[in-house]
Amino acid sequence: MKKTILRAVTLALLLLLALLTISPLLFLASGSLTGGGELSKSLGPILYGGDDYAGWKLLPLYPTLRHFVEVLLDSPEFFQMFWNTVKLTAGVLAGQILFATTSAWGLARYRFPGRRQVYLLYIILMMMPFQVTMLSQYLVLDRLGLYDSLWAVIWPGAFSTFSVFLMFRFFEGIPESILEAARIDGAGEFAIFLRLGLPLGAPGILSALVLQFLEMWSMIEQPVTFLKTKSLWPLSLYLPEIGLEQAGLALCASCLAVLPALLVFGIGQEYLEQGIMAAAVKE
Amino acid sequence: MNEMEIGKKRKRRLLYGLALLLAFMLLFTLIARAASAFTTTRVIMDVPMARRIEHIVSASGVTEKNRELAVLAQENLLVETVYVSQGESVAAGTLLAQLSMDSIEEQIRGQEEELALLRLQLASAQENENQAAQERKKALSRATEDYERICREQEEAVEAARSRCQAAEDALARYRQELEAGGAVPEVGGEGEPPAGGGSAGPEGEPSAGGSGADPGEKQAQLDRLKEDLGQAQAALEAARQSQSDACRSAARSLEDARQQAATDYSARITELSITQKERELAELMQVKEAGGQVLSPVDGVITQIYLAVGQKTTDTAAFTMADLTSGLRYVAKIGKEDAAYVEVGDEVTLKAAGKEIPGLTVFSLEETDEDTVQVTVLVPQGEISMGEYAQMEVVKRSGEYDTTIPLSAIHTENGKKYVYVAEEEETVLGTQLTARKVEVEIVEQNDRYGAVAQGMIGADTPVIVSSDSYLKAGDTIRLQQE
Repeated sequence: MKKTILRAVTLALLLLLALLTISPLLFLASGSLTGGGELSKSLGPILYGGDDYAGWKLLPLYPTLRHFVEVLLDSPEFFQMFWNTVKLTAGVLAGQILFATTSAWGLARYRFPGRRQVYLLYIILMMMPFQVTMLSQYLVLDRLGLYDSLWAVIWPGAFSTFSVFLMFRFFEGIPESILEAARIDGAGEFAIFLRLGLPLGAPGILSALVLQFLEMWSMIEQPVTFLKTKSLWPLSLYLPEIGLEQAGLALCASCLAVLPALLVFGIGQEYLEQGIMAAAVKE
Repeated sequence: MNEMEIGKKRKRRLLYGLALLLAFMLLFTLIARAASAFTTTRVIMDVPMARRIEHIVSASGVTEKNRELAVLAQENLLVETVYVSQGESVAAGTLLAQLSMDSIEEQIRGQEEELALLRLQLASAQENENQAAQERKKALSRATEDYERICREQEEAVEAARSRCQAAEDALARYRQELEAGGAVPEVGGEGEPPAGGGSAGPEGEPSAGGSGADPGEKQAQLDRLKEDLGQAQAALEAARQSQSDACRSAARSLEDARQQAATDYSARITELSITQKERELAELMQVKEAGGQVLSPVDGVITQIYLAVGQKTTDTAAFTMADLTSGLRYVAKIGKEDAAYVEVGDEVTLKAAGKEIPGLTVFSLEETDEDTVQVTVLVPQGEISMGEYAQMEVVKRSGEYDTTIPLSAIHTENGKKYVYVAEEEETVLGTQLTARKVEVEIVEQNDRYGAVAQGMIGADTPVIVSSDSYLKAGDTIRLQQE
């Protein structure tokens, strides 16, 4: 009996915490269905100033799909930025599949002089925030003629050190005996990487890709720094572009923007957990 | 195992969901683009050009006669036939009317008789005039003669009186000398007493003042007599002179009267003039007779009025009036005062009528007809256009060249200020897009198609928006309308 009550209390507490956690999403969903007038009244103190506090209703008084219609039918800018985000994210992920997997495999499975130093360098670079490397990245990209193009965001993302670090942990966990057996059976190094390394390290690769997807989908600093042309901007810069006066439109756009991230999260949730766990435990 | 299957199924569903979401976003991308393309204001643009502003003033008008002339027929003749009607075009020499030959003959006879009568009157008048002239001559001769005679006689009478007066003066003077020589005598008229014992008659038997026998009383009496004689002689001279003046004046007046009678009778001259007039009328009638009584058109023209009536007699006014086409036509049109500001006398005009164009004409006159309109008159040479024909006139006035001219449809007015929308490229999320920017301009000159913008207000290469398919405001995204 006592155990049951404890479980119920725990569940209630967890539900409350879960509710608090997802409350932004709930506000987002309800706000996107709220009319302009009602939103102005609720957000008036934020938008126009004043002594009152902003209020929020979970359920709108007069629900409307007007903002969705406005975003879907009357905002080609939203879609332009959406597809820019897709391009950037896809480019970065493709780059990481190509470069991060091979780098991580090399570091994890081969012994060569300076291996630890290289790995240490990766760790150091991973620890650096973007603001530290921003200027050097800008100078390099400008010299390469990539500034103000999607490549200016894709290339640095494709060589992200975090993915290498995450994949390294998974590749390192593959037993050497399996690889030796393959070698004895006559498999080449590339075949071993392709046939054994990638399938066995798939959870790590996928978790790295999911994490990178979530990061890339909402990145702000890199596009703001390296993309001057507005038509190249990703969706993360859409909200600053439309302004607070169009709060309904902004909330609705946010609702739509979060959907791919939620879906990808759902798809890669399992790998994401494994990845986070691997990084945490090993480290 | 079961959990794995469920997990796989869930992942597959989420993957499908992601694919579906991407497909959904793709679909709405197209729809939003299409909607944006549909709702974006479509405009037609034009780049400012350097050109002259042409003011084309056109109006509709009609051709009229330029000069009208009268066709005359001999007065008082019977009209037999009228061959033309009002508004009819006739060539020079065209038979307009036929007059009765009998009527002409009768007129000639009447004129001849009147002429004969006048000639007789002239002869009679001339004879009378001769007689009168002779009489006047005679009267003048007599008056002259009388005048000369009277003047001469009067002159002689005056001369005689003057002689007598001179003699009396001489006698008085001699007597006084004698008295002075013989003794004092009293002065005549208070000059002192004459000297005693003085005075005697003169050598011509006149009383001598120094006579030894004469006493002072006699001497004084003698002196008084002499003085009286002198006074009488002087009075007689004065009377003679007065008489001469009166007589001569009277004679001169008579002579003057005789001379004045000369130019009083003009009857012969008048008759002569009447004869000349009759002869001229007769000659005209003879000409009409020789022409067979026909009234012909003197020039190419159009009959504007007929004053003859068949069966009636001709009058002393015109038989016909007609527009003289040899002097060309007048084209008359009315234009508004605003247009008239661009038209001046001497400007080149082109007339368009019935598919024909007549260039190179000039504005002959401009006349204000009322508050709002001005009448333009253009002289049209003969043969170019028919009288009464409607035509369109066009006067083209070109200004100096302006660097920046734009179509008039690009110019808007707000609160009395003129402005245009220029298209500017703007970097947006959707790429480089055109937006409308409002630019205030000053229009220096304009016609019905273009306006000249003051220097430097808009760039020579800046496209201006000429028209849009919806209401345009500053900052609107626009796109070029596809032809």
